[in-house]
Amino acid sequence: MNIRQKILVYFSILSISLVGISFFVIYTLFSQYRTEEFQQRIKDNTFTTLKYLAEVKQIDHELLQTMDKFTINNLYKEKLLIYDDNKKLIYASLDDTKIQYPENLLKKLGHSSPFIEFEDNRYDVVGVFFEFNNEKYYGIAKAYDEYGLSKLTYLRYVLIVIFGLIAAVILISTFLLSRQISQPLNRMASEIIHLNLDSKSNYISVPSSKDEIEFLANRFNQLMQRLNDSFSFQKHAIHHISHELKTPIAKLVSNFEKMEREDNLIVLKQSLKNQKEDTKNLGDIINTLLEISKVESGNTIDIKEVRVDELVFDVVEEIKILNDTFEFEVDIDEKIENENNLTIPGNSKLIRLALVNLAANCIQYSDNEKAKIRISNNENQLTIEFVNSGPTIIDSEKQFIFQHFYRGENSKGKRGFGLGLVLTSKIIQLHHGQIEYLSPDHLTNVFKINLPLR
Amino acid sequence: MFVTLFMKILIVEDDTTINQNIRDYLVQNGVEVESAYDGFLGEKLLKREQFDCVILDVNLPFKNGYELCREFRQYNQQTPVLMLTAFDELEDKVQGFDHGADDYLTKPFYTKELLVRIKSLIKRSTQSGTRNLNENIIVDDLVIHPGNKTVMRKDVKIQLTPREYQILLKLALANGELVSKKELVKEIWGGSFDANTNTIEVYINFLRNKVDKPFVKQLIKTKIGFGYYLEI
Repeated sequence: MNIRQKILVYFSILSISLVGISFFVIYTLFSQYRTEEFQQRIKDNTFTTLKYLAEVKQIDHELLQTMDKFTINNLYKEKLLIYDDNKKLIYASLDDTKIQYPENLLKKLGHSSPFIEFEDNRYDVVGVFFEFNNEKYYGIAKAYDEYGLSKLTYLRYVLIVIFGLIAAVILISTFLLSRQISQPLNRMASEIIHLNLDSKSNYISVPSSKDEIEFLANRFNQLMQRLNDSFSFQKHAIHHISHELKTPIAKLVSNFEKMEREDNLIVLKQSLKNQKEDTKNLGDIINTLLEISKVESGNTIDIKEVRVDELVFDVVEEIKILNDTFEFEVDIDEKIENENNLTIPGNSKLIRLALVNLAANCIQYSDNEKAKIRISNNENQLTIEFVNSGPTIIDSEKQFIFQHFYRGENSKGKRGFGLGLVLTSKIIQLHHGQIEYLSPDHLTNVFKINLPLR
Repeated sequence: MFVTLFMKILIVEDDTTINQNIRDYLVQNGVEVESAYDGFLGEKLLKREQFDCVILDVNLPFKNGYELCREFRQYNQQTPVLMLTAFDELEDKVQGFDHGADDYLTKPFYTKELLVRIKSLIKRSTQSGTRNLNENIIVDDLVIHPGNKTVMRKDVKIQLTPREYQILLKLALANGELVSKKELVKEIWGGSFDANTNTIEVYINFLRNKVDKPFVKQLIKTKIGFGYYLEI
């Protein structure tokens, strides 16, 4: 049973039966009230007659009947029988209503039960035992409550008609209400069924109903947004990484093959060392690629305040562990007086990777085991320069150095996959900065990064 | 740098190849090594024996490296702990420091780098062992608490970067004596940097902004052409 049917069935059954029950109770109570009231009237009437009879015993029977004619209209179709102590009929009213088996009734009457009341075929019957001046009398009266019963019938019809009307109203309103409740849900469900995970716009429309449905639709869309992000991250990352790694792995494999054929132990050892460093480098590349994919897919980018100088010193310390003879000189512009001028918003992990790459490049391409890192700033950007002396990149190659797998003339005989600068420039781009290569003279390499200050 | 090589180190790493390779390399360098391949065994060894340094992988069977480290720190605060993490797990670096690790190394790494880091960790821990970390260093109204590396002046906490802190500490420990720029550079950035005095001036400037500027008395004094000292 769907929600709509449930609302329809439960709500209508409940409310209609509640109305029915209350109408039934009203009718029953009224009917009981009528019976009691009418029987009380018969009783009163019987008493009056009995009293009268007892007091004026001597009065002629005929006189009584004459009086009867005036009182007969008191109760409609009333039949009154009065018996004396010996249960001999001493008075019978004029009416021609029949009382069946009065003897049975007389037997039941006595001291123990002075009143008996019951209904007989829409008539009300009352039996009374009465003592007056030490004389016992029995009265049996039967009457038809025309007014009461017609009122009751009228009430019944009124209640039935009202019940029918209310039931109809309830059914119609429940029907409409349940449709109103379930319709947006159904619409949502059908939209969800038709969602296509591959398409870009896989969101459902949000009704501006300011209720749970709107809330639900919004939450659903938020969920979809997150799903999308992580899907695109996965798609992106796998695509990205497998694309970038094909060449480096092929290179490693072919080097291994070459080593297999190599007999010279010294050459072999050197190639092994190179392979080791290349493999480690590959690991770093994978890490960088993963991190970049994460940021690109908008997944949990951790942008914080980064103190660039501290990061530079960390990087230098780290890189010197394995290159302890290499000298880095870090030079912070003395015009920087406020630490805010060294603080940029960014992802410290990524910026660190970029700095590590550039520092490693310095080591790789330096001809004197020295490099200089200069940190300076102007109004709205921070500049970090990595300067080393060594063979420079020739002008015609400069435009290619940030492209995949590109290796310049100066990298001949050096290890590397031609990915480091690609990833570095990608990271700088992600931080809305610029990276450029300069060679002020034919023996100086400068990589210059500009990063916006907040 | 002299580090005694009578060191005993525990490696908890579940990859047998990596574990074995680290072990071989360290043994070759005269280090005594115990290996464990899961969190439970690592926990047992940590409780049973004394080590000079502990190397913990983050992802371990039964009990991960962070948990192991946190529990270890409950009964041992001295022994340095170095965590080996996958790059992704670096996100939790702060969490890891909270668990009491002293250093991190991201996979893949060179075993040579690992050894250098172990040595400097041990050096650091023995050095700080000789100086009581719970003893505050007080210069006038400036209080340095080396235990948690916090600096207070007149009950106001001063936020310093690691290097600013080191410079201030060096000046404070000099007890009012002059510390030359070269000495400072050497202390803070190691002997490898060309003693470029600009850099130290910039940092002294930052320190003054934080330590002196908001207060009346200026503690950091310059002896032009030589270096700096704290006025006691």
